Amino acid sequence: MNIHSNTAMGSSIKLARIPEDQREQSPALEMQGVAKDYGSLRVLNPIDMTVGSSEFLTLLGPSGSGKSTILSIAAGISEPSEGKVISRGRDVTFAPPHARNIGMVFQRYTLFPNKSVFDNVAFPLKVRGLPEVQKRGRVMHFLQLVGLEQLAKRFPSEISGGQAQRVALARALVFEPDLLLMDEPLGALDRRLRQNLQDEIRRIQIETRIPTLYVTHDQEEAMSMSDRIIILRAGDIVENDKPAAIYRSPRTLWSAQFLGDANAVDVLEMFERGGETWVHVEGGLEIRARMPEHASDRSKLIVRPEDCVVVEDGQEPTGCTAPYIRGVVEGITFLGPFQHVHVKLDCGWKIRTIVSGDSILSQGAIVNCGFKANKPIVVPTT
Amino acid sequence: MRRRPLQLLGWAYCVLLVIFLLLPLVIIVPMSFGKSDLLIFPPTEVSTRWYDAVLNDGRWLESAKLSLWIAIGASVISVVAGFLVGIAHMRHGKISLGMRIFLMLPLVAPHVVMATGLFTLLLPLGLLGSAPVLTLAHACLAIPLTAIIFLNAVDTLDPLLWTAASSLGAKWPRIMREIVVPNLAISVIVGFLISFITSWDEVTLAIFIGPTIVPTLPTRMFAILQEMIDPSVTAIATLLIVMTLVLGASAALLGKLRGRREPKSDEATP
Repeated sequence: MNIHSNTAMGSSIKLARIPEDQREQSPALEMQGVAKDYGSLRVLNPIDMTVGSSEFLTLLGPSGSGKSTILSIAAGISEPSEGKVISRGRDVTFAPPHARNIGMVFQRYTLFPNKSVFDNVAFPLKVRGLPEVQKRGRVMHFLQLVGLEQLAKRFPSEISGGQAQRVALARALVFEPDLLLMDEPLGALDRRLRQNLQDEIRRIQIETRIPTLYVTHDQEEAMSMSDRIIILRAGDIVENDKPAAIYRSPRTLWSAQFLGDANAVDVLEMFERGGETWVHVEGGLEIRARMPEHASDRSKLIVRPEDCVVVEDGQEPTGCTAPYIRGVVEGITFLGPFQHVHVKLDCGWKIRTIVSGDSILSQGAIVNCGFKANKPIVVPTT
Repeated sequence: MRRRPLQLLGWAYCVLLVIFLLLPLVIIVPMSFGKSDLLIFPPTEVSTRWYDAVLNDGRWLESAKLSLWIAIGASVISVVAGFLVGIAHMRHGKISLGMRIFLMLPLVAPHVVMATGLFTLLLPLGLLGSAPVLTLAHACLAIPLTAIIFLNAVDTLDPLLWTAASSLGAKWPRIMREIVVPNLAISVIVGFLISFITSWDEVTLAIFIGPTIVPTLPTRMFAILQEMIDPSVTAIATLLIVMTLVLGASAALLGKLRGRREPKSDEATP
């Protein structure tokens, strides 16, 4: 696909009511102290959040964490019980969906069954009264963007689910919305197709620069697509950062284990040695650790599985700092490129780690375990 | 394999039932083409004499016209009412079971009871014999049917279609016009046909509260049968049967067309 011609075409038939320069400056969406109650039940505590002018922001959380509530408030499907919603400097707290200039893609396909693929994508342009000639070019341009220009005449019943979701995406983008909202758009698709579409959505978002608020409960999806992730738990924002930053320095044990996997052990004591932080953990071990400022007394030491290095007894784990701990392999699962290993360390700590697919470790093997330098991190329990 | 005998029994039951129900047709249709002044089966001579008689008789035509207008009026009212039930179901959350049962009540109530009740109610109001009132009464009989049709039709529509259209910038009149009505179009036609049939051959209410000087078609047939047996009745009956069959068959065919418009499940996607 030719990116340059796409952008040229996009700007020549501009629809958005807001001039380009302003569009770039003001955030696509701002929530100020937004909360939601259902009767006496508070499902969303007051939150502040912003979607940047061309950002891909993902709301990640288990079901019931409030992510869909935020999305429906952003869409204007439901009203917040408290707080303000501002879109490009305009207060839209109580504006209905049709007055917000947002594109939405849902988990189900929601194409209009009575309209062809072309007419589905043309619908928002028809609503906006775009002249026929421009409409045609624009619809075909966006169908091309999602690779479906040859299916323009088909009806929704004549295309597959993955194709339907691409059409839904084209329909949500064709009028250059101020914000694109996506509610688990890949949830209904099978795994392989999901990965395909992840890449494609990301590519299109980067190409069109339309700010996107994406809701999912799938951690890998969130990490692979997002500029920034907000993790929600029981109606609160618990993380708000770039995917790598959250993964490397989670703020709590819960988010460490929600975004990725983490071995955890109780911290008994923290102390300084040679200008560095060390922790005394359960089992009598002393380990050098990073300690972010928000760590409290009731803390856990966490190590990601890939930061635990296990080698055969007698060898030295590479890239790790002493002390090394002996342990025994309790279980090993072959997964192709790598293997999951469960190790019981002599100090009593059971850890999960990974070794490469060609490692010949087997159950019952005695191993030497070390932690990669600067990787163990102290986090609060909650 | 145990299904075989059961299936056969089922088929036999259906065939017998249909034969029983259609037997009158086998008698009436041939009789209507007879030539004699008496009802004779099988007819000795074939003619269209009674059809000519019926089609040239102003009274039959007047009654037919009245029945037609009442049926059309009742159908329009019941389709609109049923459509609104469907919209409520779509936009204000599912219609509860209790409400559904309430909507179905006219189906359960015996027509004679309704007719008697309406008679005593309309008599002091001076509304007996009014065609518009009979139209309304017929509409009430048909509303449960159209309500069921629209409730089922709405259940096959994704409720998010409305939200999607709204997020794309459409206001409700456009969503109605471009999304909801086209997707319910077949149901509108089916509902109309079924309501039409319901009103077209309704006798009880028509006799109790309907117009008397020019009665509806079934009422006039009933009256004629009571007075004298005239083969013209068989001609009328045959015409009615043909009409009902055509309408019923088109309703059934259209009903089959409805639904199954969702995207297919994924198998071969690039």
